[in-house]
Amino acid sequence: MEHNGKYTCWNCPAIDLAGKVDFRACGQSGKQFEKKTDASGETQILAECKRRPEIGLFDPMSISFDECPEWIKGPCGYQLRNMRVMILGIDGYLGWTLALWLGGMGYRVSGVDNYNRREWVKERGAQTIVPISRMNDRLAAAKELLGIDIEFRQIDIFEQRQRLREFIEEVRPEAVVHYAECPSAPYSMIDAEHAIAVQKNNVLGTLGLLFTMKDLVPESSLIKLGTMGEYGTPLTGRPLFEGMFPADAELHWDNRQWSLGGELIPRDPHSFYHVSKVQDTFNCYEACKYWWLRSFDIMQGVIFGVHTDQVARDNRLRTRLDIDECFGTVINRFVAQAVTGIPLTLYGQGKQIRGYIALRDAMQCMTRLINAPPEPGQYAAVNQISGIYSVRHLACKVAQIGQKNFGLPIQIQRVENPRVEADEHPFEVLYEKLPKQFGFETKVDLDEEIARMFELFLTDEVRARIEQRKHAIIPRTWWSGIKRQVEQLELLNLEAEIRDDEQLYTINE
Amino acid sequence: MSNCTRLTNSSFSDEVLGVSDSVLVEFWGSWCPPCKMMEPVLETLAERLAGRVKICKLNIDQYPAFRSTYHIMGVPTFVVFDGGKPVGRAIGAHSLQQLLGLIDATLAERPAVRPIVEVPASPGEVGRAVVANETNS
Repeated sequence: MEHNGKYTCWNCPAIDLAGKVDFRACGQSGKQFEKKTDASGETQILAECKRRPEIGLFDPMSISFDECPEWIKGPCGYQLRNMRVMILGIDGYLGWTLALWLGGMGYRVSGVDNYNRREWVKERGAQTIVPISRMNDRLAAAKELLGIDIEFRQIDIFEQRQRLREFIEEVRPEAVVHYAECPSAPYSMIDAEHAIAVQKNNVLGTLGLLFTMKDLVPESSLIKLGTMGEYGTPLTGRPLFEGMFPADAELHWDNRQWSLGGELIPRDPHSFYHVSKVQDTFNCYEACKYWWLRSFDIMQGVIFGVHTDQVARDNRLRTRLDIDECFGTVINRFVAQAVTGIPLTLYGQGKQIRGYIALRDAMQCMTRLINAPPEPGQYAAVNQISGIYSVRHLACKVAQIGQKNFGLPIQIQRVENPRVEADEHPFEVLYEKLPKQFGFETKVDLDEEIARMFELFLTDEVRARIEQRKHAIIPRTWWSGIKRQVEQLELLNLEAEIRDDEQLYTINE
Repeated sequence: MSNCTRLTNSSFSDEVLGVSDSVLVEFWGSWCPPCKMMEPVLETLAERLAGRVKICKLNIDQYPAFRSTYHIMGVPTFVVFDGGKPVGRAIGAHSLQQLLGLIDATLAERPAVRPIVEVPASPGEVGRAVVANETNS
């Protein structure tokens, strides 16, 4: 049974709602779908299919995806035939990978980018260690090697809102994937200019997008990248629910009790970048409520990995990979350090625990969500992770694989923690929705993906590019505003560390 | 397969008004996060109360006529029907225990559809009606 087989036209973006009824219940909004009226009166919302107008007006609950010929069976559930998906931030690590992934499955992909990521990384004196082509070459390679046509425009979603509007009007996307945000905590903490630039791009860019979607494509789903970092790491050990409290979570006070069901769970962001993501959450949540937009907020864990079948097909199709302090994620950074002989760096105690997900698994999740659009007005959040690890454990894992499989001499060091965060804390997170409601299955094995990264990083070209920019790996951006490279606190005894780690993980398992 | 009955304009009379049994109806909306979070609770409730109280849902946006009929001012609103008549209500998200409490309290107080047993007055006390507690034992 596909996860979305019993979804109905009520969820489908190819539907125009009709019927002379209030836009929302309880009279909060006066907007009406006035263009058509139900023959039986003003009693219910009806639907008209944009793809099969010959059906006429009908009850949107009466046809399910598994009955509709426009929804065809695919590897990630039923998918809308030739569904138009627009990816904002299509030139990035995730955006480009998703474009090829979806294109290979028959979606009609379009996208925008302003190349900010390329500029930001260059500004930090770093570079993508996996060389990537210019967009024109990427598009030509996608067409030539994979037969994928991608409609691309160079647009800044904040500065060029009118151009974005025109492009959305032209394409009429049925789903919009929003990756066009600055994803770096350290970058937002450099100084006032950087903090303002990140919040302006992320918060105001997204706010403008919400208005544009309301005006032009309110029936499309917005799949917006948030981050698990919005939640912080509450020292009480309170579980990190998926965006909102479940109905059986209760507040007890003064001998009274209330259900917290449906209320957003508290956020405790730990950088101005994370604050921008929290603000986005509220903006999307409100837009769904006010205008009946439909949105998935993806609370993605720390991403890692280099592989999908499409990007690995040819060097011209590769996606970028950063390892610098601002844009490199931790596992990617550890492997780069390992191949260039820099001790793997743990910040402070190195006992920070986070949720992680591999690139390829993240692509599967996104596809499953695109295929299961929220209901009109529904804001939903998912925790998109496939495993939970401490940073120390990951360092040991990378060190073991590097030593055993590739004969590399590897060390682990603890350095000063430039961030303001707990580096030892409880951590309990729920991540049941994707597997239980959307059929997500983890396909990527952590060890195998790390080994695959070693193989790629040890090729002459990539290794040389890591060497050229290895100075950019060690942090020099402090949350306090200090500008100096962090100093080593301790070089760990690797054998003892790995032994302790194995014992710890054996006990926990 | 859901244990909750999803109501429409046409099925409401058959499923709720025309039955002598007790029914809990959630009036809800797609855009309402507390309503979405109630879904697993209502499923559990339907399982627990199977054969005693039917659990139904009605989307107030799809079928807006009901909001004036039943004075739905916000969602989720839970209305307990007994013998086709609304006899109790609660507004906002509720936990399983709270909904069970609502159903128990509401149905226990409704004498209309159950035999009423007159209890002889004890000294110092006026006669009182007690509901024969058939469904809530």
